Parts: sequence; C-alpha cells; structure tokens
Amino acid sequence: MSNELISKKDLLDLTGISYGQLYRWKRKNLIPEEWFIRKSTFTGQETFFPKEKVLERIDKIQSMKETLSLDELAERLSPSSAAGMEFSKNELLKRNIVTNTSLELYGNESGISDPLPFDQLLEVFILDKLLSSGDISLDEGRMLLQVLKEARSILGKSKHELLLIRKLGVTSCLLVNGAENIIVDQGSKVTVRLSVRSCIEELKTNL
Amino acid sequence: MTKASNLMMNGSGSAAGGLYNKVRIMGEGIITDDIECNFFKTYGSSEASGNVKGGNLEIFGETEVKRNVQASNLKVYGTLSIGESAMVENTKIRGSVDVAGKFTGDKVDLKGSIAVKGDLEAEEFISSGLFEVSGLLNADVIDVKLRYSTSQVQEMGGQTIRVQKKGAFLPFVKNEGFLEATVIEGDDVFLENTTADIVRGKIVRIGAGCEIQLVEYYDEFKALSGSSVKEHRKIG
Repeated sequence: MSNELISKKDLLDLTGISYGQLYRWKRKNLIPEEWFIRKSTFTGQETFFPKEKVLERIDKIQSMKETLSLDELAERLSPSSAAGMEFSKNELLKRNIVTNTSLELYGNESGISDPLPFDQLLEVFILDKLLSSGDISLDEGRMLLQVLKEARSILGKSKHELLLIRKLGVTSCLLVNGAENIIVDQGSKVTVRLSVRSCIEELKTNL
Repeated sequence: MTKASNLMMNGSGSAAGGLYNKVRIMGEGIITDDIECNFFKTYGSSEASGNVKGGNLEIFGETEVKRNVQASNLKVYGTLSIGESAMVENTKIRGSVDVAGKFTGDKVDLKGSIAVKGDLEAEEFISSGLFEVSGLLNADVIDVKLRYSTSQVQEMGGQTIRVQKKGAFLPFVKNEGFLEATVIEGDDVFLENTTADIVRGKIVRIGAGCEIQLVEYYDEFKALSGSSVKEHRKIG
C-alpha cells in the first residue's frame, strides 16, 4: 500500500466535494479520525490524508449515498457496529461469503456455533481470504485462528494488523496494534500483512 | 425500563448505581457506580463515580460525572463536569459544562459556557455564550453570537459558519465578544470580531473586527471595512 498523502485542498479539488460534506462525513465516522493527518506547512497548518484510502472511501460513499442514508452508510463502514448480528452457515455458503473448507477448519479448531455471530464470522472470513489467495497453508491457518481467538474481544476496536512472518519454513503469526514500519531480519519474510479494519469493511460490503 | 423504580435523595445520601426510572437528588448525593435512568435531576450537588446514561438529564445545581454521559436531552442551569466524553442528542446550556474528552451531539444550544478538551461535534451549534474547544468544533451549522469575553477554538469546520458580534445587554457598557481560532473552514463563512490564522471556504466574507492572516477561497471573497486580511488567494 502506498503511503502517499494528499492535502485537503487537493482532495476537494479532485473529488468535487465541499468542506461541509467532508466535515459531515467525519462526524458520521465515514472517514476515520486517524486519516486526518495534521502537518505544518509554509502556509500554516494543513490537513493531509492517505491518498489511496481516502479516494477509495469517498468513491464508495458517493456511489452508495444514492441508496443509503448517511447513518446506514456509517453502519456499513464502521468496524464496530455489526456486533450482534448472526449468520446461518447455509446462508454464508449459499452466498459464497466463505468457503466450506474454511468453515470446517474453523469448526475443528475453534468450535462453531450455527448461526455464527459476527466476530466469529470475521475470523472465518479472514482465514478464508488468506487460504483462497494461497498466502497461507492449512497449518498456518490453524495458527492464525488461535491468534484471532485470543484477540476476539478486542479485534477491530483499534488499528489491528495481522502479520505472518516466515523464516526457514517456520511461520509466526502476530497481531499488532498501530505499527507503522515493521523491519525483519534478512532471513525472514513478511508473507501476509493485513489490516483487520479493511477486512471488516470488505466483509460488510459482502453481507 | 418500564418497571424500574425511582431514586429520591433528600438531604444527603449515597446510592449504588443501577437501573432507575426517575432519579432526583435534592441536597447532596453520591452515586457510586454506573447509573441508567429515564429522568435525572439534581437540585443540590451530586457526584457519579461511573457512567451516567439517561433520557433526560437536568442539572440545576452542581454535578460531577467521573466517566461518560449519554443522554437524549441535557439541560444545564448550574454546572456539570464530565470526566470523560459526552454523547447527547439535544443540549441546552444555561450554566456551564466542562468536558474532559469529546462532546458529540445533534443540537447544541449554548447561552452559558462550555469547555471541551477534545472535539465538539454536532449537527447544529448555536451559541450566544462562551466556548473553549481545544480540538475541532465540527458542525453543519455553526451560528455564533459573540456577546462577551473571548471564545477559543483550535479548528472550526462545517458547512455554514456565521460568527457575529452582538453587544451586551446593558447600554453604555462597551463590552464585546471575540473569537480566536487557528483554522476555520466551511462552505459559507461569515466572520466578525475573529482572529484566525487561516480561513478557507467557498464563499468567505470577513466583517468588522477581524484579523485574519490568510484567506483561501474558491468562489467569492469579500473583506468588509474594519477588517484586516493580510493575504488572500483564490484556489481551485
């Protein structure tokens, strides 16, 4: 992911949105607080955003706001709001949200209840995503599930990132909170780096 | 919450938290844990050690909440201090409110004073009182009448921002209010008696008594007489 920033001015120019809209979306948490990066420039204080993320988000808001109210949109995009929803196994399979392989693996490892609450579905979803992309093996998947289960109560409440690091065929799985740069030794390779929040958003758009 | 009982404290007393219909404290009361109720009224002084969640909160005396406040309606005629954050749909402040964290609301009607250490967010912020926001004052409509003393805000953002000076009640007393801000951004901005580093907007009008370092505007800029704008530039 690129770390390029865009100034507020350029953002408004590029997207055609107004100050009023931007501040309204910020209030509704459609644009997360931590994306507002304040910096001093020679013209005084300016606000910057992570370019790629914010443009994608504004695009999403603009395309969805025709059909959804801002509050519904906020519901859809906020990481914490789906708690309390439950999903039946059959429905998840029928709608191709996760695969049967992941559901079974999850059932063997963490025990599965039907219907599945959102926090557990998220774990299956992350597992499924990594398994289907071929980034991890089944064994690594088991390890991943252990970490996720451990962190279930706090997952998604802040900027969690999931990391898988491989060295000489041995994998470690870590969940970190708000790390900017991660430097590993030469023999190690970061095979997976995944933001939990973006997973939650992705899952919610699929639901 | 239909079957919840009422809590009345007359004189001095303390109660554990819990679920109530009406809570009324006349005299002095301490609530030692989280409390949830439909109505909460304090006439004397009260202190809540936990969170306060309620439909209608009315403070006539003095109340200190150590943690968060969540309510549909809040009216403060005395003083209220909140140790963490507040989430209130409708707020009417005639006395004073102090918030150590963030204040989130729908409508804020301010005739007394409010001090917020974090951000203050609302759909409508209407003030003829005094405010001090150490973070961002973010509202769709910000309508400020400056009556006395100096209000301060780090950043101000919204759609319509209108800051006007308004004389004190008493004639012959020359007493004016002022606003100090670092950044003000809105689509339609009108300012009086305001000192700011940067004002950005689609339409920016700077009225009497303002001292602005830099104005950046998209469509329209006007500096009325009695104002000082060091630099202005059209962008976009």
